[in-house]
Amino acid sequence: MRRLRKKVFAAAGYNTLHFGPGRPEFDPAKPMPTFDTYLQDTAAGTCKQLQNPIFDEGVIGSFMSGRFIKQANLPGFLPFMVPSLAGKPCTGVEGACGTGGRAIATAIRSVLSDMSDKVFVAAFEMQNTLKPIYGADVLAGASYYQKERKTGHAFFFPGVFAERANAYYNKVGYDLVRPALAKWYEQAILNARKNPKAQEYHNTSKDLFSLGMSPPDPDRFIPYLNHYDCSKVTDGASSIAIYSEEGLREAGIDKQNCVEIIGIGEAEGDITQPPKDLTILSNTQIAVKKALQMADLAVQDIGLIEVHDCFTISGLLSIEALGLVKEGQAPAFIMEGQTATQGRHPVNLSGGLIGFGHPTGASGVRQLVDLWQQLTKIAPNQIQPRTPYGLMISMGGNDKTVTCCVVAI
Amino acid sequence: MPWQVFSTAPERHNMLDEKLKSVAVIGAGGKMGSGIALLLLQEMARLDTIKYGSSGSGHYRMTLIDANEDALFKLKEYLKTQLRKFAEQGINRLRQWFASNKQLVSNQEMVESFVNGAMDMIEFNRSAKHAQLVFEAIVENVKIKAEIFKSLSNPHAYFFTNTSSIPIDVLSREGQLGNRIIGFHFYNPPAVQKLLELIPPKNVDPKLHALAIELAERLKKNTIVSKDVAGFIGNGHFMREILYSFKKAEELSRIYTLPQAVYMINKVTQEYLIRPMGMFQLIDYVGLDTCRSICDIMRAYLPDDRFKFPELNYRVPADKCDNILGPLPEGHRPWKLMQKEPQALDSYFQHLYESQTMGSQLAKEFLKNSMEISNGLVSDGVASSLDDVEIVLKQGFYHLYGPKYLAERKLPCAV
Repeated sequence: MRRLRKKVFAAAGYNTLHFGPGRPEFDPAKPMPTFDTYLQDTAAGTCKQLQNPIFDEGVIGSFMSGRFIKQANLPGFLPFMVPSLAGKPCTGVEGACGTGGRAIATAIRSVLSDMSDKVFVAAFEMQNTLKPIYGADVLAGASYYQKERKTGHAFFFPGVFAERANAYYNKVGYDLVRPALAKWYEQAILNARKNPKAQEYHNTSKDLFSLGMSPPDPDRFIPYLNHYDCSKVTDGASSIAIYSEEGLREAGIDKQNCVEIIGIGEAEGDITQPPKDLTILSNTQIAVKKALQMADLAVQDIGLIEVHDCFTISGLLSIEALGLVKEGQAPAFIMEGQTATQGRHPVNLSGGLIGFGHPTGASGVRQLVDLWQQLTKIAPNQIQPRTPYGLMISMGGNDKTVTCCVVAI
Repeated sequence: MPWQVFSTAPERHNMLDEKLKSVAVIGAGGKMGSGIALLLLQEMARLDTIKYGSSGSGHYRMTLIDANEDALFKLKEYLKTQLRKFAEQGINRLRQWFASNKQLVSNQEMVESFVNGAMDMIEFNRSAKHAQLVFEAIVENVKIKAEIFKSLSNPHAYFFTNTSSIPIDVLSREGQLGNRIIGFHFYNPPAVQKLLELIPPKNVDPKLHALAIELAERLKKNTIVSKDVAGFIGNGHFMREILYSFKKAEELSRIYTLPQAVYMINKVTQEYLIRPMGMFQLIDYVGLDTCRSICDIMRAYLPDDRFKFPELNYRVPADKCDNILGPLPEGHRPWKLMQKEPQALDSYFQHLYESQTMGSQLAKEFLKNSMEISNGLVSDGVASSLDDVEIVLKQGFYHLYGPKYLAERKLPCAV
């Protein structure tokens, strides 16, 4: 079992507005903010928090900028975002929707290797440049495209997770599972309503649970899941600074304003192989186990959790992958309110991917920012965490590229 | 070609599929013609894709004809935009149609292929001599339609006319089409409106009749059959109601002013009968000249002298005189709201029949007249049932109820 050879910290996190359908400003007929404004916004948001915004290295994550905005060579934008990165090493990272987690992991490695003491990490995605049915083609690149796209659903990844939902319905019982997915949706929106930057912040729908129970429309969308089960199409960026202890001092940051990364677990699955069991996120399980072992904690010790709920079903399956409950028990766990804000294991206080939004490449960094905000007590929807530990899961593809981080205040 | 023919099902000869390989739309630049062209193009593109792997394979051909060249020019853009919407909104079924074409993988590739291929099927021409199916949607004028049919001198084609009033028999005779023409009346707009009036003339070719029924199903239309009598069901009811409205307005104008009379009839037929528009507003919307010409057609071909379009000089809006009509009956909701609460109609009619205001009295008279018209259409064999009349009124004219509703509830107008 590995332990981190030295301490690594995260501080000065920032999320931009997560923009897309659901926000009142969103109008597909009008010009929208371009990616460079998001990059500048997030960088300014991080750097403003630092007395000394000088970095040794930069990491930038994005999943499909090459297709959404026809932009590659993303490291070139880091000195644009943070002038002190000019002449410094900068790296672009990609791992589908798990890009954010991989970007954080890249920064951690640099600090652990003593190559850098202060790493600026940013991640972003711009998805509203394409209509959703064409965005679906682009996002399908997170699968083994040449083998899977042709026979996949028009809405590819919703279709993939719809099949997982169906398998889980068959395993546990539709009548037990369906309400839990609706509850997940309800909780996501209730949390988003407390986060002004969340895509669903302005959602005023009255009966969220009933919406979550809407029957699927396989003719127009997908079977087994409805639109409320799915995270929306989002433009957004997030950034955070990763430091060694020395770097923290140089940056002038107090320990009470940062979190320590005490565990990281990473697991990659063979993208050419389908999951052995659709009801289990097996790579997520591996990543979580490693992260908790490194942190020397049990999952029950975690006071705050951010999971990758690209779909309500992936959120539910994450609860089981975390080991919070046994297989098949997540629906009851959710229905009991255990994952609610006031529950014993509050999950996705941010609103998660469903409530806050899912700019695919950015979500992993966004999750770390949210954990950092809660633990340093500056969150817009601040709670009193039961423990000083937080955990995030950043997942790419169909449980293929997974990063789990455990943090402590 | 880089791909093979795709169906694994045994080859099934379907006459409609074959006939749809060459189609012409005359009057394609008009409102109705463009919608008809779109619907047919979508179906042809679907068949092309399923049978040959993609649309624009060269097996299907659509000829678009219109005397107005400007309209044809705009038509291309309209068709392309609507085809794209059709493909995108039906992306799930589109992917199924393209399932066997290994070259096309993403939604974008399939949509582009479908749209571009469908556009490749189109030719603009003055001649429809190659067409196997000819759809006509030009001005409601027997002479002009007959000239077009004769000039096409295509002895093999089947003809589908969108006339809303002219007996098909007349068109067959004047156009020298024999048994090769059928009435295929779409409602506006054809791409959206589910209702289709099918008017088979007396000696129609049974194959054409069967083709028309199948085509209407393929286009997902709700088909109501009308006997081949001028005006058919839709205009048969509409025109008779228009004449009744003029008659009532004239009667009222002997006591009140004409503008007041027009106002009252318009308000009664909109608010008291809970319809989207009052009769005079509707006449304006359809066009006074159009109404007059439909009336002239019905007068020419019906054994009835009543179809004389009055020369009534009126304007809408006219003078408001709600005080004369009195308050609306209890339970009234405007048409838009009543649409969402159809269960409130029962209580409204109960109050209408209890109310003795002038407005309510006029409304009851209109309801009685509408029932008489509907019963007449059934007893004359134009419509096969009150059910059918009701469907035409609800789907074609957006009424919230019809003669079947009134009869089932044994309202006084229906007794």
